[in-house]
Amino acid sequence: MLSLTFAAFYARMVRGNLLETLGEDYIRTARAKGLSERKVIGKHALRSSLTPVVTIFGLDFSLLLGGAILTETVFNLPGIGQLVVSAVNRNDIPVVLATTVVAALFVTTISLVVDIFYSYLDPRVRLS
Amino acid sequence: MAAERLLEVKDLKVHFNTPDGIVRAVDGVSFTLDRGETLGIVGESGSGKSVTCLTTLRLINLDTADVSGQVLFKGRDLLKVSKEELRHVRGKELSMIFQDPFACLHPYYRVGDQIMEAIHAHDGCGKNEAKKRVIELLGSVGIPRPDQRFADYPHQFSGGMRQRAMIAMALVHNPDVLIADEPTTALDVTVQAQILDLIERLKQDFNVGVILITHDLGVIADVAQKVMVMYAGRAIELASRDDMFAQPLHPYTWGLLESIPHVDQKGTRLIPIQGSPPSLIRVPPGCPFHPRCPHRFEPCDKDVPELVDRGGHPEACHLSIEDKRRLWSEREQLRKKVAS
Ligand SMILES: Nc1ncnc2c1ncn2[C@@H]1O[C@H](COP(=O)(O)OP(=O)(O)OP(=O)(O)O)[C@@H](O)[C@H]1O
Ligand SMILES: [Mg+2]
Repeated sequence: MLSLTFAAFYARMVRGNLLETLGEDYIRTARAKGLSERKVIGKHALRSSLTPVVTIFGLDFSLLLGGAILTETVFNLPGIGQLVVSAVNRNDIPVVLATTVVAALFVTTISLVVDIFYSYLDPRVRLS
Repeated sequence: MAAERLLEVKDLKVHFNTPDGIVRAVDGVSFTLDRGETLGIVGESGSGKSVTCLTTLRLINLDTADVSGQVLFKGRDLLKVSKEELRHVRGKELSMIFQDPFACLHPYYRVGDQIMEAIHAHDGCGKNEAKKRVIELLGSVGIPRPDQRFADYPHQFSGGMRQRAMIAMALVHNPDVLIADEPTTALDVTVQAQILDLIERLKQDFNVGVILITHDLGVIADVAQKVMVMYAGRAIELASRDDMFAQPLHPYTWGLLESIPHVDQKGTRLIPIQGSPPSLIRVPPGCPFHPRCPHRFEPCDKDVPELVDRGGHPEACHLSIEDKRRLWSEREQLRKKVAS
C-alpha cells in the first residue's frame, strides 16, 4: 500500500537519472557502435540510472517500516505497526521486543540484499 | 589513379543554442578524405575539432544544435539519411575513437562484452565466434593475455589499455573510415607512440581513410598526408603535409609552428601565440584571428576572409601571397637569429 506512493517517486527519479545518463560519453560510444536507440536507452542508459535507485531504496525501506506504525494506527489497519503500538499500550514487553527484533532483522536483511544487488549492478563496488 | 573518395564534408555548420547565446562551434568547414589517406586536424582547444567529427556521425544532440551543410559518405548525406541507414554506417563503415578513454567505456559492463556488442550490432554470428574474434582483436591491438582480459571491467584497465580496447571496438567491422579524436592525449609518451603505430599499421593493412585530431604537430608531420588547421570553428588553412610545413600561408599556422619544438632545427626558440582564442558566442568581426595577428591591416577587422585556393593550398587571410612568402621567411630568419 505505502509502497505505491514511493513507486511514483522512484519513477521520477529513474527518469531524472536517465536524462542525465544520456549525456554520458559511454552512451555516445554505444550509439557510435551502431546500436539501436532501444538498446542504447533500454540497456546502457537504464543500467546506470537504476543503481542510485537501489541505494535509495535501501534507505527508504526503514522509513517505510517506521511509517507503517503511523499509517496502520491512524487508519486502523492490521499489521506490524499496529501490533507494536497496541503492545506498547498494553505494556506487553515480550511482544514489543519481538517486533523490534523482527523489524531490525528485516532492515538489516534488506540492506544486505541491497548491498549484494548493488555490487551486482556496479562491478567497481565488487572488488574494493 | 585517383583513390576512392570516402568522405566529403561541405560547408558544415554546427551552432549550439545555449542560454548564453548561440555557440558557433563549427562555422563553414569543408574537407575531403580519400581511401588510404590520413587527414590531420589541428587547432587550439575549443576550435571545433571534436564537434566537426562528432557531427559527421550525427552524434551530437540535434535538439540543441542547428546543423547545416553536407556530410557525404560514399555519396550519401549522413545528415539526411534515415536513422536505420545511419545505424548501419556507424561502427561498420565509419568508426570513431573518442578523446577521453576513461569516460567512453560503460563502467558496468565487461570490456569484452562491450566489444562483442559492437560485433553483434551488425553481425548475427554466434556468441562463441564473436568472443573468439574479440579475443583475437584485443591481442592484435596489443593487450597481453586477451583471453583473461576479456572478462575484465573497464576500471581494471589502464588508460592505454582502454584506448586500445576502444580501437579494437572501432575495428570489429573493418571500417572504411576511422576517426580518431586525440587518441593519445590522455596517455603517456611511450603508449602514445604505440597507439599511433597501431593506427598507422591499420591504415596500411586495410587501406582505410583516417581522420586524426591532435594538438601535436610532430604527430601530423609523421603520419598525415593532409592537414587542416582550424580556428574558431573555421578551417583557415588546408594543405598537403609537405606544403604545410615548407610554406605555411596563414599567420595562425605560423604561430602554431613556432610554438612547437622543430624536429629539424635544434635550438630554435619557441614563441607562443599572443592572447587566447575568442569566445565562440562572440566571434570577432572580420577575420576571427585578427585581434591576435601581428600582421593585421585595414580589412582584417571588417571583412571575413574567404577560403581562397592558392594552387591546391586553400587558406583564409587577406594578406597577398607575396607578402605571406616574405613575412614567413622573415619570421624564420628572426627565429634562427634569436636562437643563436
Ligand atoms: N553540446 C554543446 N553545447 C554547447 N556548446 C558546445 C557543445 N559541444 C561543444 N560545444 C562548444 O563548441 C566549441 C568547440 O568544441 P570542441 O569540443 O569541438 O573543441 P575542440 O577543438 O575539440 O577542443 P579540444 O582540443 O579541447 O578537444 C567549444 O567552445 C565548446 O564549448
Ligand atoms: Mg576535442
